[in-house]
Amino acid sequence: MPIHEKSLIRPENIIRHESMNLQGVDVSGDWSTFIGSRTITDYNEDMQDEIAALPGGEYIHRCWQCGSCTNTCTVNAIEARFNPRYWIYLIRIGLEEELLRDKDILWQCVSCNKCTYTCPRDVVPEGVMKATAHWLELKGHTPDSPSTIFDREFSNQIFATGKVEEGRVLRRFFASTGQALRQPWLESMVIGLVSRLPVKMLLRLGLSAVLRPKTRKWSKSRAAITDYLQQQGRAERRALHLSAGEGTHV
Amino acid sequence: MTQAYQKVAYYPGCALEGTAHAYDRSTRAVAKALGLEIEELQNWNCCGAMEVKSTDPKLQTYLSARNLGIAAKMGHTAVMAPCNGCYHNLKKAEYDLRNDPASIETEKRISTKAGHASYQPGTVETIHALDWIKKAIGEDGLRARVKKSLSGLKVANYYGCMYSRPRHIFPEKDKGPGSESTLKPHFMDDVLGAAGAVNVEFPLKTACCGGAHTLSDSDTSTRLVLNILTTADACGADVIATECATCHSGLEMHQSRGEKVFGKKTNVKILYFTQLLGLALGLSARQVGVHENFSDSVGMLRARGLG
Amino acid sequence: MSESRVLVVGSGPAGLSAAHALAAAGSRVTLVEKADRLGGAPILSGYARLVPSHEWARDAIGGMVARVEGNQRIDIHRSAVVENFEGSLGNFRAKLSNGQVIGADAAVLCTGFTHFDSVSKPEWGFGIYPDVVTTVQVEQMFSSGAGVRCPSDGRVPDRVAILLCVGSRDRQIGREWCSKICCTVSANIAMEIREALPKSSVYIYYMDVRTFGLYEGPYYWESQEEHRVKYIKARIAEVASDGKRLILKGEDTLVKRPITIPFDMVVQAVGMDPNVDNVHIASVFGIQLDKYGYVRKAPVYSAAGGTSRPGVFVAGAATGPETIDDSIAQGQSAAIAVLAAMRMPVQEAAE
Repeated sequence: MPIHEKSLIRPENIIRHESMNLQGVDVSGDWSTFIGSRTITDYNEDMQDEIAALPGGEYIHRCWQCGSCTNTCTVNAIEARFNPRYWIYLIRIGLEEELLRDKDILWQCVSCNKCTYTCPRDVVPEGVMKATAHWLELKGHTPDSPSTIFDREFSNQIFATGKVEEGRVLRRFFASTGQALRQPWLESMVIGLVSRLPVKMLLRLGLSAVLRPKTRKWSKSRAAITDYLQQQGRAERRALHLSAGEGTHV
Repeated sequence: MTQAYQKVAYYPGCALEGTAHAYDRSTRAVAKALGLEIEELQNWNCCGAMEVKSTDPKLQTYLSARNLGIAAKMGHTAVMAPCNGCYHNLKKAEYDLRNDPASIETEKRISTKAGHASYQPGTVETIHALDWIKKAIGEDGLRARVKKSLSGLKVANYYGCMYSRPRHIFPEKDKGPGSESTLKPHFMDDVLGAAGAVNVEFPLKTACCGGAHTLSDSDTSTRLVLNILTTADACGADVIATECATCHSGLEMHQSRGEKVFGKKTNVKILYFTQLLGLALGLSARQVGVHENFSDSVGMLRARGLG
Repeated sequence: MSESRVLVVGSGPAGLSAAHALAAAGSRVTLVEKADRLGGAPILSGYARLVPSHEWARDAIGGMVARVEGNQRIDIHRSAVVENFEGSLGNFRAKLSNGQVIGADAAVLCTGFTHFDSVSKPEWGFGIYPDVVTTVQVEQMFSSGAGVRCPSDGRVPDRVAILLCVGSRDRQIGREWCSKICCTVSANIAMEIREALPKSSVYIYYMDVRTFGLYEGPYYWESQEEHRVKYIKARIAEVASDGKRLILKGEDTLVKRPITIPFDMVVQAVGMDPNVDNVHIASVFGIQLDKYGYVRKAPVYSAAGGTSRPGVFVAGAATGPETIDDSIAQGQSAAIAVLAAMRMPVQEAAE
């Protein structure tokens, strides 16, 4: 019988018989045993509530599995495995093992909000993707994604000074993800710009790296935000049943 | 011509002080050329861009609420933001402070500790630079003021994600004739059309450029941007008009990266809509900051006698 | 006891039923109808054959209209609305837009619903592509005798898609209710299309199929077993066009694959909104609406058929999505509630 859904064949389930003969017929080759191992044997009953406890995940329980999110999804159009509708189903049912198969791509949501625009149940799938990506990190299933590192770098600068200086975010992001700042494509773009900019402008751009933009009298806001974040962080760790030391990502 | 928005508060945001300086320069130049008064928010803070919400959306609400509160304190009833990210976040804060008890509580709590008043939703209207020009001047008003028509310049108008999604934070849109559409926006088409541009039928007006992951997931962003650029080329566009600092720098960066890393060269130029409008109003290329764009449009504009 | 006088507002299935029942029980009825003729949605919107009787609406509901029009105890005001309503149970006074003033012991509101206007969902193409139509329009194609044709060029459609839950169960547009009957009506329409156009294919895009109760057999299964209507689990995200045919986009959630499939005609199974005039009706009659905007019902165990105001009763789709058969039953039930209230000692009614 032909296999209609090739996606159901998984590498770990393939058994190779170098030479196999069944009643005189040579049937050597790859055998998929997916039917046997696909039996569901348990549910993670905490998963939905844990993800709902993280910012953005609040409305996951509303989902009725219509697929509008997946169909409009920007990332799904270029990566078929990126399927918010399916992931929401897995989370709600508690099929953790299935979800973990896609843990390395789940953070790639680009926040285009097409899903949230179309969702008839107002699940806010974009928020659920963020919450799930954080859940994976907090639970130790994945290291912090490049996106999380970038967002943290960016947010921390805002929390500290009230404003963001893009050059600084860029430098720190490249440093913390171990990439060289001198990417050839970035360099050629900057060289093009430099050849057109007057000296005064260049000086201004250079200076902003030294004179960091700031919001004045920000210290009280900073303290209030820090206090809020600490309290939220504690609440999140409690909701995820983590001990005090675990999951301190902010 | 209506008398609305003749004087508004101006929220440039961080990007317009950095990579998108050309957007700030051209917005201010256009305001001056049109005789519209804009007053920069005093001591504003970052709106949180697309990043703070990943930590906690309620903090983004606080950040925007503080800015709205400043506009109110300065006596303004409208705040204009050219950057889609800033515009979106101000709108989102307005919506959340009307509808989400947890956001209301968080905003109150942080504002109180930070020693300033909470923002009362409904006090200040957030508008985009497009709303501002369209309602304060209008197409007829623009036509009367055009000094150097864009005369047939083929433009693909690119609105991006944050200008119209999700729809519930933009209650004034989708209200029939005269209002903006969240599905097929047209305000930029209207404005640039009045300036003489030929708007090409561009199906990716609200496609995503991957701006949230411009650096953290560059390959995805490059693929998304190349899709936009090649479609604009195929539609015969000379230039993509932008209205968002994130989109604009994303398109520029990944046009370069697409060519250097993916080997895919695209020809379409990228300019802020305020730059094109400013040129039509008779401003020079330098006055609207064409030299500050990473994407080099000087030759293309010169060949057409613009700027 | 002198004969009672009852005001019935609206002449759809519920109003016709209430008016007839009250007159038959000896009351004098004043029937006020906003339109220039009686019959309500089934007649005004041109429904074809009704669920579940398969009788033509013009015969079935037309028969109810004739019965009311021929009843001397029923005084009919067409093209009229109630502008003012005051008093209390046993002693109401209503002023009509035609200048007449009516005395009434009680009133029954049978003010019905409004079909959802699909223009609020631009992504599904209604008002943009002529071949995107509503279930109401297909009913009219059948009832007028014109047959099912693509409005753009009059061709017979090869392939028809019916989208369920248009204007129902959608928080984006503030409609959180199920409109109850659209699934069954859609299955009915699908079978009628397959009968009229045997070469056509009909697909129903669903999230859940709610052909409730006894409709399971003759609609849900018969449409599949006898008429080969196909049910696909997907909520369509967008209706587009390739210039020639309509293109449906969505995710087939059972096979986890995107759909981009051409159709000749797309039928939107439109839901039942609260009557657009409900806010006005509520203020004239001094009654409350529920959170969705339908007329709020009194507690069913103690005061079935009642509203928030003693002496003002309600029946049919005014209180929420309702079938025609049940609207008729509720009209009759409200009539009994009226008669019972008027026989009840006043102090008891006040409790």
